[in-house]
Amino acid sequence: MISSDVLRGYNDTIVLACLLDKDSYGYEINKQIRDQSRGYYHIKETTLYSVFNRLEKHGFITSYFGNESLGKRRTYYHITPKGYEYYCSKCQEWKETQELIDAFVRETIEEK
Amino acid sequence: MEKIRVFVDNVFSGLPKTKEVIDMKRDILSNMEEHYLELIKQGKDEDSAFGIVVSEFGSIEDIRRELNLDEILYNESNLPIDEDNPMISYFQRKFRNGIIAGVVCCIIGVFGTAVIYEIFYYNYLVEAMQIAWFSVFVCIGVILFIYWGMEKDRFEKSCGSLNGMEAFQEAPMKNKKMKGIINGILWQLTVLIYLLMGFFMGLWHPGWIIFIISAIISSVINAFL
Repeated sequence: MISSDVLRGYNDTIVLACLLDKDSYGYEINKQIRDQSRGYYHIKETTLYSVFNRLEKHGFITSYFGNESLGKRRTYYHITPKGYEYYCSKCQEWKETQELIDAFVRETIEEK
Repeated sequence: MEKIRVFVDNVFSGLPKTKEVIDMKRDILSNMEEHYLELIKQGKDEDSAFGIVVSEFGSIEDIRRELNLDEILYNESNLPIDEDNPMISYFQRKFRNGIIAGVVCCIIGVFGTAVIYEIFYYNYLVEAMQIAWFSVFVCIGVILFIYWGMEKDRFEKSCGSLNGMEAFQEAPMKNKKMKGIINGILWQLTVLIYLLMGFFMGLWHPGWIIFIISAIISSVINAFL
C-alpha cells in the first residue's frame, strides 16, 4: 500500500522521467507510467493533465502539436533544460528522504 | 466512443470555458478515447472498456484546483476566449427583451381590463371579457419570465456568470441576501396596502389585484437580480 500523499509529491518527477529519453504525449505517458511501475500506479487523467499544466506553467516542459490521431491533433510534450534540472533535484530529494526514513525503518521487529 | 465524449462534456459542464479548460478537456478526451480503443483491441467488451476508462478519469476537483477555478481572477489565461463575449452580450440582449416583453404583457393585461370595462360596460359579458383578457396576457408574461429565467440558468451553467466573471463567488451570496430582503419588504408592503384598502376604502374586491401585481413585480426583480 503506497501513501497517496507521498506519490502526490512525486507526480511531477514521474512524468518528467517519462520525457527524459524522448518527447511523448498524454496517452503514451499514461501507459509508460503504468508499465514502468509494473501496474502499481495507474495515474488518473485529471492528475496527469494537472501535472502537464503545472510543469508547463513553470517552464519545465513545452508542448507542441504532432501527428493527426483519429482526426485530432496530439499534444506532445518536451522536457526543457530547466525541467531536467528540476528532475535531478527531485531525484536528489528522494534519495535524501529515503535515507532519512530508512534510518527509522527496521527490517525485522523483535517481539518484546 | 460517443459515451466518452458525453461523459467528459458532462463532467466539464460546470467549468468556465477558458482556453486552458478547453485545451485540457480536448486532451483528456483524446487520451481516454485512445485508451478505450486499446482496451477494445485487447479484447475487452465495450462496456468494460468504457467502465475502465471512466474509472481512470479522476476527479474534476483536481482540475479546478490546478487552474484556480474557485476564484476566477481576471488575468490572461483565465479570460474567456473571444467567441464567448459576443455570445454573452447577444444572450443578454435576448434575455432583457424577453423580460421586457413579459412585463409589457402583464401591464397590458392589467390595464386592458380597465379599458375593456370602459368600452364594453353595457355588455353583460364585460366581466368575462376582462377576466379572459387579463388571464391571457398575464399568462403569457409569466411564461416569458419562467422561460427566460430557465434559459439564463442554463446559459450561466455552461458559460460562467452573465454579470461578469470577476467576484464570481461573491455575487451569488450577496444577491441571495438582497433577494430575500427585497421579497420580504415587497410582500409585507403588499399585505399592508391590501388591508388598508379593505378597511378604509372597502376595496376588498378589486383590491386583491395587488397580490398579483406584487407577484409580477417580484418575478421581475428576481429575474434581474
